[in-house]
Amino acid sequence: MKAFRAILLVATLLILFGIGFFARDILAGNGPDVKAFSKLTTPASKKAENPIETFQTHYNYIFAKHGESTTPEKLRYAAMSGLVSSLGDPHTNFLEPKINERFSTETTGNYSGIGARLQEDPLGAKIAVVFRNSPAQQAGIKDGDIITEVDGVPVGGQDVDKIVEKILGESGTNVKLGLVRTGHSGVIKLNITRRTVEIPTVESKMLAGNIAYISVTGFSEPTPVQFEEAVYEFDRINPAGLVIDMRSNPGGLLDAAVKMLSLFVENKPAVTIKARDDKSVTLSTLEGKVIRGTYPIVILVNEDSASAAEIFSGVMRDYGKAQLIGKHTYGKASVQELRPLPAGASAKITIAKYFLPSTGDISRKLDDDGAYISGGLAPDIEVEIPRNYEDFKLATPGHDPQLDKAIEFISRNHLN
Amino acid sequence: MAEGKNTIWGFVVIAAAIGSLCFGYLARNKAEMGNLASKKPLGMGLLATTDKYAETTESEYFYELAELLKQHYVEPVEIDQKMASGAIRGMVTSLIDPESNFYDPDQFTAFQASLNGKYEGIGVELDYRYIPAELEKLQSGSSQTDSLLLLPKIVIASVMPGGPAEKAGLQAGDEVREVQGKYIVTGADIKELRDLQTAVTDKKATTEQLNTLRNDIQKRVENVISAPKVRNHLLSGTNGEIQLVVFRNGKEMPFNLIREVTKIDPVTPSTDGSTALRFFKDAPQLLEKTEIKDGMTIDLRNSGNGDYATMEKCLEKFIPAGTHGAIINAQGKSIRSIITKNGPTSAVKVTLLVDESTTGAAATFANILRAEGTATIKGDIPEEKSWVEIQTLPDGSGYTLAIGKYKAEVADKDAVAAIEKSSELEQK
Repeated sequence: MKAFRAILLVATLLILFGIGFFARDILAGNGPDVKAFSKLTTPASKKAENPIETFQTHYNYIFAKHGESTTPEKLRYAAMSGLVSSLGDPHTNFLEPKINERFSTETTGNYSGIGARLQEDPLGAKIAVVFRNSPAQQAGIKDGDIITEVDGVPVGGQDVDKIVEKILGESGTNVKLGLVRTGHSGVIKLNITRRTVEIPTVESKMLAGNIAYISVTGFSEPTPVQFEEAVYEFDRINPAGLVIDMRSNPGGLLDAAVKMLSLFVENKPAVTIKARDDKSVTLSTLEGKVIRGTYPIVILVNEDSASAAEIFSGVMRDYGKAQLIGKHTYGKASVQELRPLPAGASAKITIAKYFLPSTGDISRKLDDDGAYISGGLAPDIEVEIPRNYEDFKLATPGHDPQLDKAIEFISRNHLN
Repeated sequence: MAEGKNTIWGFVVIAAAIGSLCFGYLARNKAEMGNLASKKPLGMGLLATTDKYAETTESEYFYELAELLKQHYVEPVEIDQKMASGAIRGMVTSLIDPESNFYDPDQFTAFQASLNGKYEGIGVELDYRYIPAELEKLQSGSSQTDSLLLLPKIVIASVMPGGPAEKAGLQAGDEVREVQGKYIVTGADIKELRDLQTAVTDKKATTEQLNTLRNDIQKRVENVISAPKVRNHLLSGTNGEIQLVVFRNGKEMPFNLIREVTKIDPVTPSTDGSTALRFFKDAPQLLEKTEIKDGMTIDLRNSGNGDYATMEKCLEKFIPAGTHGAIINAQGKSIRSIITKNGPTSAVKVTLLVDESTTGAAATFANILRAEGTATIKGDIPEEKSWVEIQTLPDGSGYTLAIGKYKAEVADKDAVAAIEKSSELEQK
């Protein structure tokens, strides 16, 4: 009896040891990595090739020789970025503490700033979109303006991320901006009060010729409801056609895209997500939400339409519900997840790849210099916006060649 | 009594249970991280992630992140040397130092071959030239650095005799502007654009001028080639045609060359009686077979960068044993001394032929001999580059690390010795 108890105790302890040993695997939802046992029994001297030791050795060496021109923090984060880049996946990234914060605010849709989306420009940061009723709009900032100064400091040549970081701040505080505007000489100086801005992701309007227009700029939590309201409202008046503008939409929540597809495609597979170890999940559109109308639908896309925007556009076309007009899309065929790391940093990791019902894989392929080779959705009708098109006004008929093409297509197909 | 005993046993069993759970966890860390596993209590994996920065060592961080990728990344990944090399690449690149470069296994093979006098590609060495003020800002540790202004000009530093570049007429000092129809964009281009922008704001230039330049740069940016790719085209490969456009004396000049191997001996006597010396790996051995005597002329032109450690060894043929100055970093700290263990009893008097193609170790060699007062220098020694150390990594990649510049006299020799001891890299 005593012997039995002792054996039971030892067995329990061994099992607990095992649980501890494989805790990382188990917590991550994987099977235990039995190979790790062999690492435990290999003598230390044979493990000279341990990658972690290689890293530590060279970290110490570089820091000893270059300690004055860098900091432990800078060196560490540079190393972590490099580690992640070694996977060769542009969407798997190490996010330093500060950048990390901004990524999280973007997906929840609220932040304190001036209410504009910025893009890279050699002179500073270019205003891509000014949000409605935002401090930026009230101060008279226009699309295409270039921010060259923030709080009196020139920002030309800096990363757009860095510039955004400087503009963001606590609600109620002020930020001074210097802008250059085409056709306006000199720098325009503005003093703007930051405010929490809800990023609107759906905007709609009626265009001439009874054509409905809905612009979707992202896929955040409120997007499907806003989109649904807009679509149902237009469907009631039976328009000549519907233009859905997905240009420069960087994507967002996958579920949102599937919900939105349910307005056009009923109970059909929308996207198949293939995860590790060939586990795959297919998300299907919902039942009972489809609109009645049979008018032509055009989706506008460009090279900055990515991820959820591509799923939406690609699935619509795969089921013959829409024509794509514009430029080929970005080609981001994967799903990322944010994982926390010590000291407030995190890693954005590709955990799955997605496949469209008939288009399949749309991953972007690049050459070594980062130039585009293939990938994304090819438009049915390609329309380019000339680089020096001075008169360009987004979503304004007569000033937006891609929208004009969509209107032309709808007018023609509606009459037939 | 029996109850008390049972209670004690109960505690012991529970303690043992918890103990083995923790022990298992730590054993796994130890298995994965070897000697670098933490001696501290349970890490962040099991418990809450409230760690302060200082509580996590680099290697723990590396392990945490690598493990995260291993557990979650869509494709199977192993914690391997490729990850270590990636991390080291990240660190080296973050220094944005012109002479600290990371090389992929293929590039590193070519780089090491060039240190043995075997050049692939078009038979040249390249130099990255930065806007001096920007580089200074960077090296002083300023956070106000501007990555666009730090895009270097790519200049031909040395042209190897007998190679495709020499035959085609390329010269040291030519700035490479286009390779295979793709453009190189430099910090100077960006600066020109910005300066013009300011000039337009101040009404000293017209908007048309600005638009012309902006469109030209836009065209270059849209069809750009990265510096590492230029290096690949020009410095590796033993076949295939290379089209390039260089800028020389204000004019763009196109060249077409065929890549091939150019082999050069480190010590080559020439017809005019001088001896060309290049600091390739076997230079010390070949110098053994060469008669080094007073009055000899050594040609250091088109020298190639060479290997600094080799150059240090070669000094033993020319000057008496001893310490000959030190390497000082940008902050004025001594990183290492230049020491020869052997040498002639008195210095050999030589004449050195130098010009703008005397680069890398050769320029430092000339400066050391000049400081020792044993050489007559014919020509101007170009501004010296950083002393470079070369590291090989287990997966076949490698990197160079610039550690500072040569200085003839150092005030505090004890400080130097202490630093050398602390920064000694243990090579396994």
